[in-house]
Amino acid sequence: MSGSRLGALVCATVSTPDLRASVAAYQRFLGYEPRHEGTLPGDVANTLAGPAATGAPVAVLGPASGGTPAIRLIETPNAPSFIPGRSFGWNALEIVVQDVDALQGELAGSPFEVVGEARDLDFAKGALRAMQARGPGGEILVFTQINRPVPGYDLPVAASKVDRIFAAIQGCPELDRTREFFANKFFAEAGPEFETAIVTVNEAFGLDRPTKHRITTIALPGQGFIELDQYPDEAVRRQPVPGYPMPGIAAVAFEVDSLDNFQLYWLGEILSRAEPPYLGRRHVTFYGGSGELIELIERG
Amino acid sequence: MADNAILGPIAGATITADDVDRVAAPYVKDLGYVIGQRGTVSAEQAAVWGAPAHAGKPFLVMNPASGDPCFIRLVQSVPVPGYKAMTTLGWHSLEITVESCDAIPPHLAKQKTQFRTVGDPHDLGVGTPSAKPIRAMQVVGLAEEVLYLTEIPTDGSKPHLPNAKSFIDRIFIVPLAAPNMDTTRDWYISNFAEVKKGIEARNIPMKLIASAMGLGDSMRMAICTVVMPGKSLIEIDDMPPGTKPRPRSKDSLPPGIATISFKVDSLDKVRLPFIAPPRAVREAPYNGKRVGVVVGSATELIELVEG
Repeated sequence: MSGSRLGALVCATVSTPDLRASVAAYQRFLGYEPRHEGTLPGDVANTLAGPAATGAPVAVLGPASGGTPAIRLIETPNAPSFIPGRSFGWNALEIVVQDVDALQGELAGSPFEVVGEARDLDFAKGALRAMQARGPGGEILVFTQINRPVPGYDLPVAASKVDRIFAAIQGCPELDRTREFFANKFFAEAGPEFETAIVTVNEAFGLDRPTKHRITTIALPGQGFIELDQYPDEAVRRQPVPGYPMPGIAAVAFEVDSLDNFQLYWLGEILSRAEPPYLGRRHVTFYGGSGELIELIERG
Repeated sequence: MADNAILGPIAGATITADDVDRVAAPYVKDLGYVIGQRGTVSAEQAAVWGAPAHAGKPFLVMNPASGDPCFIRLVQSVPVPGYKAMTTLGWHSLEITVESCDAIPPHLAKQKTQFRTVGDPHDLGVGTPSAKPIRAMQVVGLAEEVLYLTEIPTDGSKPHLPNAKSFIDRIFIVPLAAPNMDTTRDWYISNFAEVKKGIEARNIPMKLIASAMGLGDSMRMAICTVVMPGKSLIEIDDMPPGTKPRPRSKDSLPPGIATISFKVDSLDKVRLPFIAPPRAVREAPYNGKRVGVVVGSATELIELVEG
């Protein structure tokens, strides 16, 4: 058998032009706590398709509730052509919060620019209330308050004001092909597909607010999800500053039982760095079905 | 659907070798290939591959005696112990158009060639009174690259395939070992313009692959082709379950046939991620053209050359 089942979300890597400012913003406004600070090793930079970022300042933060997934911030130069939400790949992280309306008030005037005000999600019949904001590195964060269980979805409960990432959201050139990719490589079956208005996509593409898009989700162990959004035809390939990791959400890391037996082309070598988020476990990267960079971390 | 880049024709193939001169010698002596340029791999080219270990290492570029621009490039690499052609995913062979398939074995024998014959001349399919069959044989080179030497009939019955203009001419098909033939075919058609379905055959014997993988002659598999502009094709072989990606040396290209280069009308129209940002590569065979490398669904490296 080839491959291994996709496990829990471990970490999202976000590029930012000013690491100190981003760390301060995550600490002050989201209550995230530093777990590690340092510089990016050259071999890890290579696996992130960003060798020029070798030695760049790095910080790993996590929610005050403890645990994972973490957010790793890497200082990279501004990519002039990058417009958040208009390119394929990882575009947003969904974070569970206790009170989305209160958070919206607290983010006013902060480096997290609210681009979609808190509202009930149309498909969840009052169970989910969400707002969208653009972070200091152009990363889109969806803050979701979960009022009650949603049938068919195993969702986390927020144990801190702004708790953990529970979904990594990517824009797909062809949703069907990306879904097939996850099924073929990770035995990951997507859930139901439906159409819904995606605030950040409509905002990024200048579409009418009610414009609907096809989306589906892939459930992961540990109350996590990958959301696949079919992007409009006008979407483009994301362009990094040459030699640096992708702007915005550069990569998302998942646990797997084993790195052996995958039919994938690894970018760079399999490593086993000691620092978070790796903690001595073997890890590697590859490009997924939408051109997104995926990190796999072997369960220790 | 937004405009995709137009893929094709095949611009050339890159083979990694522990000694580029040693591997090139039988191409020159026995196949009539001509070494056009040689030098050391620039940092730009190595970066485009995501393979910094090749920077500063020797390379050479050869073309067929016909003068066709489709090249074979040899790049020095640290060998991967035990690497054997046709046992892993990725590009495994180059199919080359020749004038006379039956004339090749005696010629190679006379030359005391270092190419190892693994398939004697044989018909592919059955001819008709008005259309001769295609005739092919296979040899393996010193870098574990497989060459299909294929004679296309000159009776006009195969207008979509190129006739040779020299004894051994240019690459026209690049066979690819894929984990899932259908997925890989869809991948090329979805991601590039003007790529069309070609032939498809399921449940057929592929003796060379069966032999290389130590499977019995009863092994059956599926193959198909996709057709690109310029009488260029990709043959997609549906490999046995569990076939692994090709191991490679640290920071290096894969062993054997490492990449296939294709022309594209515009790199800006490519919606796939590049291993590294495309850039102009000053040395041969690109001589300043912009080049970017993407990874295909069969773990193959695809080098895209603009213009």
